[in-house]
Amino acid sequence: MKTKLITLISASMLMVATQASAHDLNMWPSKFNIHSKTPTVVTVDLTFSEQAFRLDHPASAGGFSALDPEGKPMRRVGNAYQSADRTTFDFPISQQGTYTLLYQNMPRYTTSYTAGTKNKKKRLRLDKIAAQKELPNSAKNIVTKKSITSGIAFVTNTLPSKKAYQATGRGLEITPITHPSDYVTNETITMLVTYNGKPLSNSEVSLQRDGSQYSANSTPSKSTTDKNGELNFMFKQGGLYALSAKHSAKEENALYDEVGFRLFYSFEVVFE
Amino acid sequence: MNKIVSFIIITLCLLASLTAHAATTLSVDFSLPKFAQEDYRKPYVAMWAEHKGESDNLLLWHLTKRDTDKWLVDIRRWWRKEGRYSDNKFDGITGATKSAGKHHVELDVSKLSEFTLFIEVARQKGGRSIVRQKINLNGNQTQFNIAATPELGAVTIKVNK
Repeated sequence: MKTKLITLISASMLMVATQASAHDLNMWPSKFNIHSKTPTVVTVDLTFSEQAFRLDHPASAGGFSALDPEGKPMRRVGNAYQSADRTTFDFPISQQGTYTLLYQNMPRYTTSYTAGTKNKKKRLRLDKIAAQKELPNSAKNIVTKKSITSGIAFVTNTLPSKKAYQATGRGLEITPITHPSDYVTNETITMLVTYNGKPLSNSEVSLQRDGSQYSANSTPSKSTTDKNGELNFMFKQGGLYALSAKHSAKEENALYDEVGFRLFYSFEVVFE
Repeated sequence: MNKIVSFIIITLCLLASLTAHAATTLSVDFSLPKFAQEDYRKPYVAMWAEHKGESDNLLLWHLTKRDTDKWLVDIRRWWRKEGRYSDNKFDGITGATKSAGKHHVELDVSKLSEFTLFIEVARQKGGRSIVRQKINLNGNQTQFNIAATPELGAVTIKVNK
């Protein structure tokens, strides 16, 4: 009986974990632009949710990291508190310049296949090697996908700087062209979307403004990168915005056949 | 000896009068509206000139009691164009916040020729107004009027050359 209960609990925990993996990441610093000469703190909320701006599942604290204005990884990113629906960091700020906040989960592997006479679609939460032992003999159309979910946001103390957001050339990335502390209404905001360092053209992204979840049409708007991989926006309304980009690519590997990236960028547009 | 001293003094006076004469100023007359509000706080006021991507700080009224004024970011455009680059060095143009009513300020614009003058007013638990006026010091127009906005009364600008 006891073992059964434990299995049940762990199964339900697994369900929560897998549920969260398909949700959108929301990373919200309490302030995007501050002015402080003495060390201070900006709190950062991290939550996975079905819809942007709705807190749902706390993100794992281990996935959070940051770069200081010099572009160096920070050793201390602040104490975290995990509540039922969010994880909150007291993110320390001691330098002038732009900090990059990063979130990245552990890569997840999904092996999908069809089996049986009805060719039913099935999935295993396993990589290619581990799936070998679990797959039935009748399994067909076997594809293993590695999924990576990440998030970015920028916080500027007084002076805007750019060292903390240079593209690394790995995976799906968004690099600001317009500095994030210059995101204001009625001015063009440009950003670059790259995959493995190369501009990603004609790629669809979705965008949602905080507050739109209370309006008649709460579906995110769509935009597409141009031939240079750039996105250009001009907003009439200030506020918090959640942008998400996706990209999948075939990549032969011992552990997977395909890699899928989801990237979430939260930013503030100041009404000017 | 006395002759030399008086010569130096006269020269200095002449130089001073020359520079004084060369100074081009803007006389800005404006008012800060009254708000019948229990928790009324005097507004922050900033004036600056923008020209070809550059900007010049001309006036800042804010909370001068502290070393760092964290609320400066709320004068949004001024902060973005001028404040964040100034490293808290606003000497000569800074003053404490002022009461509602009529105000007159003289802005030294000797270094400028063609620019846009910005006036931004932001008030705690209140609103924010921003107005702009294109000014060409080499042009014929020497007076400019800006209509009242919620946080800033009508503005009159006179060019003194």
